[in-house]
Amino acid sequence: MDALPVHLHTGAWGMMPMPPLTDMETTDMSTSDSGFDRSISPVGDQTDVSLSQILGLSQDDATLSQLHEELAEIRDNEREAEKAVANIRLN
Amino acid sequence: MINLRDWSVGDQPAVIYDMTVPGAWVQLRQFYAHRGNRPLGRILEIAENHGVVSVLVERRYVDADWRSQLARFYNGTLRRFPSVCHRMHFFGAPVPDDLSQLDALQSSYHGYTILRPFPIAPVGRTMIRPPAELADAVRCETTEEVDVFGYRLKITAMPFISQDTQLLRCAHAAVWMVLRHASATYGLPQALPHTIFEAALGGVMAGRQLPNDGLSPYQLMAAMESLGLSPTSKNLPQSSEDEQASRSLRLYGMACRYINSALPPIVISNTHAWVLVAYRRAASAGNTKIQLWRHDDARGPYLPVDDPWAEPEDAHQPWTAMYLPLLPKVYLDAERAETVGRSFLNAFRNSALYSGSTVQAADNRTNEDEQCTVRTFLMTSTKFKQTLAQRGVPGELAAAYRRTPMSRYIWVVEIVDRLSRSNKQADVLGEIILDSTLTQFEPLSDPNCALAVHIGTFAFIPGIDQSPHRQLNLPHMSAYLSACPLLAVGAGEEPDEPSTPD
Repeated sequence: MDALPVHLHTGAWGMMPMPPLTDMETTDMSTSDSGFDRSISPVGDQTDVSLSQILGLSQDDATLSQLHEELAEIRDNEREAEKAVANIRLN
Repeated sequence: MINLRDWSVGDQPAVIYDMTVPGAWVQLRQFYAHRGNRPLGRILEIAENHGVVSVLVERRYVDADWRSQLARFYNGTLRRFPSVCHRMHFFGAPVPDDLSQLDALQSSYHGYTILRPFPIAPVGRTMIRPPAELADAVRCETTEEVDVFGYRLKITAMPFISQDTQLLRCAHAAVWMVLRHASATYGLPQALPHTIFEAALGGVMAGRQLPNDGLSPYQLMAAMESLGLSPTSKNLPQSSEDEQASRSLRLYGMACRYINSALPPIVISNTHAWVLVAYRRAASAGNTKIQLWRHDDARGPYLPVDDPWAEPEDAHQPWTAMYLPLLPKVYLDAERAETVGRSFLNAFRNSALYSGSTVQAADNRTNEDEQCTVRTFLMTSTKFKQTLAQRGVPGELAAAYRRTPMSRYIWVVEIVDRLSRSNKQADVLGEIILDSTLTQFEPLSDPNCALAVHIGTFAFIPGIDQSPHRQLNLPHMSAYLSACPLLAVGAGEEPDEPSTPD
């Protein structure tokens, strides 16, 4: 790139030399030894058991079958709604 | 046509009408409307029933909506139309002649209506306090600050506008009302009449567009979509028998879910469109527990619906479809949300957790009207979290909810104890919280399917992405107040949403 398409600010502030990175002070944010950070945990007991296992849901469960049936009904209703309004004029 | 000199009389900035004078209401109506315009008649009827004794009319009100109509259509006609409107304010106390300290009349201020210089369809933007019958109703409404001669007044109402029969038709007016409300409630952009007219030119046109012969439902859908909503449409049951068999697609159930969510649904017949704006717990011919109320641009604001399947006027027959003004980031609709919520509730009932639960105690009552039902609504997750303590949600559960990542909008399916509700007590026994940006529910065992499930003393928070699941066993559970913002703010009485058969 030969030239920048913008006018660069060249005032005193812009000319101020930056210190080399190696001289900059760094803070390790991952340690809690100094008491600097306090981790907040989620509330409740961690569990490997899923909600469906607790509720006893399986893929052949009647509750799931009914859910699928009702979701299909909603989808069918929407498609009917799109077709049923072809001759309507709202005035 | 209105005479220009009659419309802008001299240099008087305002006129005050004493409405206690016999015949004043009739005279006012006759001045502004030909042939007893129904929307204006309804507005004046509401005002009269509120006990309005003074009407203050600003005679040079520059109305953005009317200017928009002028620019897009009326300025193209040979005859001239005045460019200013009149704005009519309703007060339940006398307005002083010197127009001083009008803000002291806030408690008796009942709102305003803007009158176009167009007697065949005079009613422009209107914000009028709902009728007294709606005091205990769940209402879609916004609060607007009104400047009246340098004094600030407030009015809370659902915005109303009537069509002008040439540029704006019923569907345009319905979209205007929904958007005006959504602008104040959800931050959507406001849309002026010409913007709505242009937006409705998308879709499949039906007939001539200017002067407008009416819109097709496709144009209605296109206008809503391009103006910042993300609507869906649903076919409506065609009889009360169909209604009973419709599960999550019941007319009354859908209406209540969207009104609960401050998303007023647009209903269409074969020739007309209107907006459902409120429901209250009162028997009507169409439902033993619920009465719906609508804004009908051709008939006026806040009109009760007695029976959707036996409407007295042809324009309302039949209720064909409902256009539901969902927000763009709400990918999941209320019907699917409630269906999924019910599935979790039913799974809970079939599990070992059910025995001894508060849900079982309610289910065991012999009177069906005292058992459990669900209440479904959309709200922001921030509002949900911020109101946990004041609603009486147990501390441990509230802390867990506050630390749970949630989508901006959430669907809340509350499990409601009907007996407590009818006794006007805290009635929420639990809730299923759903991510409004998730639409895939197969399989239901997907750990991300619900953001949280709480029923009785059991609460489960599936981890988002790869976070571990968390389970809470609450030591004791008592019912708490609903999270639904409209119930908390507007209703003196908890509404009874019609239940969906399991």
